[in-house]
This record gives sequence, C-alpha cells and structure tokens, in this order.
Amino acid sequence: MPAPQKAQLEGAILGFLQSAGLKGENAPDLASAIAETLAGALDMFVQQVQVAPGIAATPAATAAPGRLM
Amino acid sequence: MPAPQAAAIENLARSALKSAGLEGENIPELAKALGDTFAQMLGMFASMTMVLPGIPAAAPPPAGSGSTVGPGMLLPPPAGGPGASVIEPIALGALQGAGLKGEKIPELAKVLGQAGELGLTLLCAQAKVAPGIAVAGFVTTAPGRLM
Repeated sequence: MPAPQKAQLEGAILGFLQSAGLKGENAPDLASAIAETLAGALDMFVQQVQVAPGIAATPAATAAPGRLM
Repeated sequence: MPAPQAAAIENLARSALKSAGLEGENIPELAKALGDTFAQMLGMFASMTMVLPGIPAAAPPPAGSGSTVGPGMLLPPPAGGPGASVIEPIALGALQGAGLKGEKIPELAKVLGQAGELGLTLLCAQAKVAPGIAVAGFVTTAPGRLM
C-alpha cells in the first residue's frame, strides 16, 4: 500500500502520547483515532495529488526535480 | 486536485474518534483540530516536497519522446516537508482555535507534530510516482500519479 496504514502508526503514536505524559485510560483509544485519521488523510493525499508536467529528461532518466500539484 | 481539505479530514476524524469509543463533549472540537492540523500539514508537504530526479525513462533522440518507465521517489521531511517542530505549532493553533484549552493541549500538539512527521516520512518511503508519464522533446508533458 502506498500510504502508511493505521497499524503502522498506532503503536508509535501511543508511545508519543505516553512520552508526553498523556497516560489516561483512553490513551490507546486516542492513539487509534489519531492513527486512523492520519492514515486516511495520507491515503486521500495519494489519491488526489498529481505530479506536475515539465520535468526535464535525458533519453534514459528524468534530469530535474518535479513538483506536486 | 490539491491536497485534501480540512473538512474532509475532519469527517475522517469524527468517524475515527467515534469508532475508538471516544464520545466526550469535546470530541467535535478535537475532530475539527485534527482536520485543520493534517490539512495544513499536507498542504505544506505538497508545496515543499520534490519528485527526485532520476526516474528511469525511455525517450530516445532525436525526438526525445517516450515515457518514464520506472517509479519516482518523493523527498521526505525535514527538507521535503514539515517536520514535527513545524507541525506542532500548527496543531497547537488548531487545538486552541477549536476551543480546546485544557492543560494537556500543548502535549497533545507535540504528539500530533510527531505523528505527522512519522506519517509523511512513511509516505515518502512507501509511495512512488507511477511510471508511464509521457515525455516529448526531453520533458514530461503529462501529469503523473502517485502509487
């Protein structure tokens, strides 16, 4: 999958919450919700943005950086 | 289509908070803050990141026409997008702007900054520019997609 999945983010986010002193009983639920939201937003990003045309190329490869649009 | 808008991400957040069983009175404000934070972050990323040169292409001379034939990579944060230290104040502003003012709000903003940088870094490691972008006269002439 191109965009990171919720499961790739959730454990780290729970660690960030605990390190920040946010250790209430709902911390795992909050980590789950933040991970699901972020994964969904990144997936939308992958679906929506495009690479702008106009990238210079040689016969064998692009030769300049490109931008998103 | 540009980066996703805050309202669309807010809807995602509302649903994610509900399915996680979080139903306090401030949940709508938290959903709004998540939407605003991640939308601003993705907007910054879209303008900061670069498609790195070196995408394999087949565009033989003399016309220099053909297409890219391999995947491309995106430049990750901090050079290619907002890092945690940039996202954190955006998140703090979004949380406060949504009316959330508890004593732990700065800590939550810090977490959202760290989470955002992690998400963008993983995105750059996993998402690729799809091959098949048309090339004519030694320059790409059509938009490309991410995959």
